[in-house]
Amino acid sequence: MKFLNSLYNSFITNAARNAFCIQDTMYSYEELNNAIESIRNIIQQKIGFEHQYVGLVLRDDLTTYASIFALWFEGKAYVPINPAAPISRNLETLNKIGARAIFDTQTNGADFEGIELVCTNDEYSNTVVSGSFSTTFENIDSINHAYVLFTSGSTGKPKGIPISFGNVDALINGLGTDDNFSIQDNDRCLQMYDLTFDASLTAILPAMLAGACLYTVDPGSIKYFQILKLLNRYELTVLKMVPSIIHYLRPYFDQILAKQVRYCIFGGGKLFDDILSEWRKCIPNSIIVNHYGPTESTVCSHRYYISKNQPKTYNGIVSIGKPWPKLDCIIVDESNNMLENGKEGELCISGPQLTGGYWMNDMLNTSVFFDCKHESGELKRYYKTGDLCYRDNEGDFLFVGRKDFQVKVRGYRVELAEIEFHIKQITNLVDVIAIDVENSLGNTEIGVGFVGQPFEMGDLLSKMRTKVPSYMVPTRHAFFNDFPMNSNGKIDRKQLRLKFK
Amino acid sequence: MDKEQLLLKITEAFSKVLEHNNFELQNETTANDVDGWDSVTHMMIINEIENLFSIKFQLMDLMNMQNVGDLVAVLEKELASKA
Repeated sequence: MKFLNSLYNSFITNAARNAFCIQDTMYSYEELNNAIESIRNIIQQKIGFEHQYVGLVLRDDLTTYASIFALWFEGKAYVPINPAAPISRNLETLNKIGARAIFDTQTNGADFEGIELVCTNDEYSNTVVSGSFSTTFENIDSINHAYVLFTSGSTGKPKGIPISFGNVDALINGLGTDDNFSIQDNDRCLQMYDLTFDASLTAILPAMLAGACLYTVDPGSIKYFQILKLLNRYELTVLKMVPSIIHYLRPYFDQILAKQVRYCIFGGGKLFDDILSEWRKCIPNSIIVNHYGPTESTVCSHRYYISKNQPKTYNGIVSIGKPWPKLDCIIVDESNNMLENGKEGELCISGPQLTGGYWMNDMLNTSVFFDCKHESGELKRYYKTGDLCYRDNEGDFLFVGRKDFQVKVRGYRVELAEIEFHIKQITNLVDVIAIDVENSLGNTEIGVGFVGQPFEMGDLLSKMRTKVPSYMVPTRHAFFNDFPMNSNGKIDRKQLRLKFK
Repeated sequence: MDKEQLLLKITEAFSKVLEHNNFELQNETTANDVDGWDSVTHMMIINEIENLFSIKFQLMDLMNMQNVGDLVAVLEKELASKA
């Protein structure tokens, strides 16, 4: 795999340079290399050739990052495990995948019932590095998986999205087709994403391929303040962020000025034009880019360079721009017929970044992937993103809204139906509706509405915390005699939303 | 305004944003001690306090705040500079 060769070579060439700054400690590429080697050793000793999947508990430390690369260099896939997520959910995903082992850098980790927990920190592993390690990676099959991410599923069960080495390679190629974007080895790059979130890869990989240094954000901290601290203390030059970060900081923009920032890339949520024009004053010399892409087509498929004057917008939402050259994107109607420019429909993506399909979920695979004849006459497999978009006459895509009840909270995809599923299970209530509500900062929160007598939420919320990750636990609630209905006899979500204001 | 009054008013801001008053604020209180006080609601609470007292915090002070005691100290500083 070409991108693995490039990564390996970059790690060797840049050995003397800093690779990471984690909680104010610097780690060189040499230290990263050493950590990778000792973990490759553990993999060779503990994980048989026939096993592909290893759970990886994500911590903010060098060994966790090194584990990702070690697994890749050994041709294995990681399944990210959020240590703060409920154990039941983590177990469900690991069992579904049939993970051989779980890597963690701490010994006080949770009990994963029968799946071997391997502590990867040197001091615990007690192994002498003895293996022989391949330094080129042509032999790794491009269809083998590099990672499997689980996202919220509308049936109440998280759905697994496997991404292959070939998919990641195509992503790196796609990112590389951009002449205006070139990270240098002296760049200082922000890494604010939890590793359970695939947008972390487009923060990490381009920086590491260039031999630049990544500055990580402690997951336990208040992120937007931590980002500012890093920005000030280390004079970061490349920022990749979710748009909600600038929503928090907006009241204090007049106190932020970071002239050294060269690139500011947004990804993982809707980006609004009005706040962006204010933010631009804080980073006056920066190029600003909007990234878009679903996990199913490997992190990122579209980019839009946001010009100072009048970027393209729809309802104030900045355009997502064009897909990379090797991806093919179309807009279709309800019956999968291709629509012409300017017509609103569902965005569908085809190309080498597309996942092979959801993990053991034939029903979903049949409904969201379909074959369609391309202009060239070639039959291509497309993924239906669920995002309503249109394409303008210059080929730029504009995001209009969601087709279904998937929302984004702090950058994470959340199926409202999954929240309803768990609440109904816990409470035995029938009339429950989860809805996305915008708070006073312009960020999305989850509200839940009930029909019936008001009750204390404490018990329900603490039970929810044992079922779903924290971003899926509702933060607002309201009680109704009846839900508001529209003229079609459906629940009027617009009216409902107003009750949460 | 003495410290007790300040705390009362701050408590008001917390309950308005968090929609409950199931907590008692003391100098040592941190986000871990109060239900719903997280990074999302933190900024809303801060904005609410700014509005209540008609002041504007310095970003640098906000970044270094660890607990309610720090919040009160910074608030006192802002009120003093306003007076």
